[in-house]
Amino acid sequence: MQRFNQHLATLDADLGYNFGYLDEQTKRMIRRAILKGIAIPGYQVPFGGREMPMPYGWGTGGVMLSAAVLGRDDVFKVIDQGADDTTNAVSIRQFFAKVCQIDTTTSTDAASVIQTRHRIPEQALKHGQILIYQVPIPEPLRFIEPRETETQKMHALAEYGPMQVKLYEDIVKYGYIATSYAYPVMVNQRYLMDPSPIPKFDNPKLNQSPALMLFGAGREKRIYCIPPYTEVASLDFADHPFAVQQWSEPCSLCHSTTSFLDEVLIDDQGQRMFVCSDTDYCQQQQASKQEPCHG
Amino acid sequence: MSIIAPGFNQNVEQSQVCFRQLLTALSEPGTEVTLDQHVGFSPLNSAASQVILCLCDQLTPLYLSPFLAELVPGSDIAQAQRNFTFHCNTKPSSLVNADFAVISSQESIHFSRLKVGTDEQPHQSVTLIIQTDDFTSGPKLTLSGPGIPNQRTVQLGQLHPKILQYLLAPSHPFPLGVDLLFCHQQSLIAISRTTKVELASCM
Repeated sequence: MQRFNQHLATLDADLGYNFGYLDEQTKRMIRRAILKGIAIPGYQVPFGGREMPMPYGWGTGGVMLSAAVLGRDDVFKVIDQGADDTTNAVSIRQFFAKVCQIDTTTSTDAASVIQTRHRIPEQALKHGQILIYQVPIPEPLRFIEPRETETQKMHALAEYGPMQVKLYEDIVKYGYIATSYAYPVMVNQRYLMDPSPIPKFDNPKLNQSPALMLFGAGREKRIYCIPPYTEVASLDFADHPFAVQQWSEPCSLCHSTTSFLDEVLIDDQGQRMFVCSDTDYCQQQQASKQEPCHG
Repeated sequence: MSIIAPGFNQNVEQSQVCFRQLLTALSEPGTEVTLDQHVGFSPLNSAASQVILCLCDQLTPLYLSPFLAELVPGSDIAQAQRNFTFHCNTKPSSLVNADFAVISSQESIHFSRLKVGTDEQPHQSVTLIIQTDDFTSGPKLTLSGPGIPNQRTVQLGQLHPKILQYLLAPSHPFPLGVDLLFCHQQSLIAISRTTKVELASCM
């Protein structure tokens, strides 16, 4: 068994793939798109997306960005809806551990590059960290206007009234803005942007974040970016200001009252509990609360 | 006779290192970063050469200003072009059509003729690499905008009045514009099209 494992280890070291899986030509093309995206915050730069060894919808856009960004010294973290231990997160982490042979972590603090599906970590990000989002549909206006030629014109003219109307229709129907995820934002007072399906709870973290944020949509082949310290404002109305979700109870595991909670059914009688969606944060909170008892 | 000088000796790794430095430079305009993976192809300095080695290929028309060779005795701009063609497969281009262009900070340049993108496709614009003499002289510039908490002050060397004029009052409204990479030896400072540049008031 020992020898078999040793044999596997040598096989891994000589995979036959380029560092980061993608070829250098593709990486250059993606890198140029990222730099243009940074120069025009919130604007969706088209790029030549490649077939990746996973299906669309599993984060191919994010994976392509990570492949173009990661280097030997990076420490990589992947989260899926906040969790480090779900299938999507584990498989992408293993993928890069294999094709880049870099260190991976589950700690938000220790990571230099974080790929995320639909959450921003609870712990405040630091200057120098890069957050890479997996994006299903990059165009915030797509459900209002299905034609790409038209949405391009709308962005060119900053014609964003229809999005305000969509939020207004929410108010007419429900009495409040019911949009709870993929909540549209204005980046640097110019481009309307879909922050990927993060809960609107995370929207305030986009504003003036010290970390660099890159968004990659694999199927739609678009890259967009928010540089650090950039103004990102969630759309709202003077009489219906932007507000985030709130819960009536704390996390059942770590008793945090400030984190984003998932509702989990726990038996056939409809009993439910609320737990942090960010597993790393939840575990840290539990550990910090246990310490005084042991110490 | 043409002589091909070596490019990156570890292409994959060194390209990535350069890219990350560029990523920092452009996402935080006014921050000085160091590119130390290659000595450069004279008359281009080290940082300018590395930007091209890292980002350019057959899809990006490249313009190298003949004026650069006048500043470095004994250098030949065609020689540098041949090197980039060999290492990156770049095609020489006119300034008007270039995706990447290298010029001198002393040069008079018509910004209105550059590729600045369109309202619908603002990313189809030139990345202008400007070789400058130092980052310790020249007018003091105050930068603000995305990537800059509050303000940052930089000096970009002695600049031709036309370049300074463009920095202070870009002739194209955002999102159109060019992204500027100022290079001196191994150092690079980027000014993004989102960056608001003002002359620092004399204290």
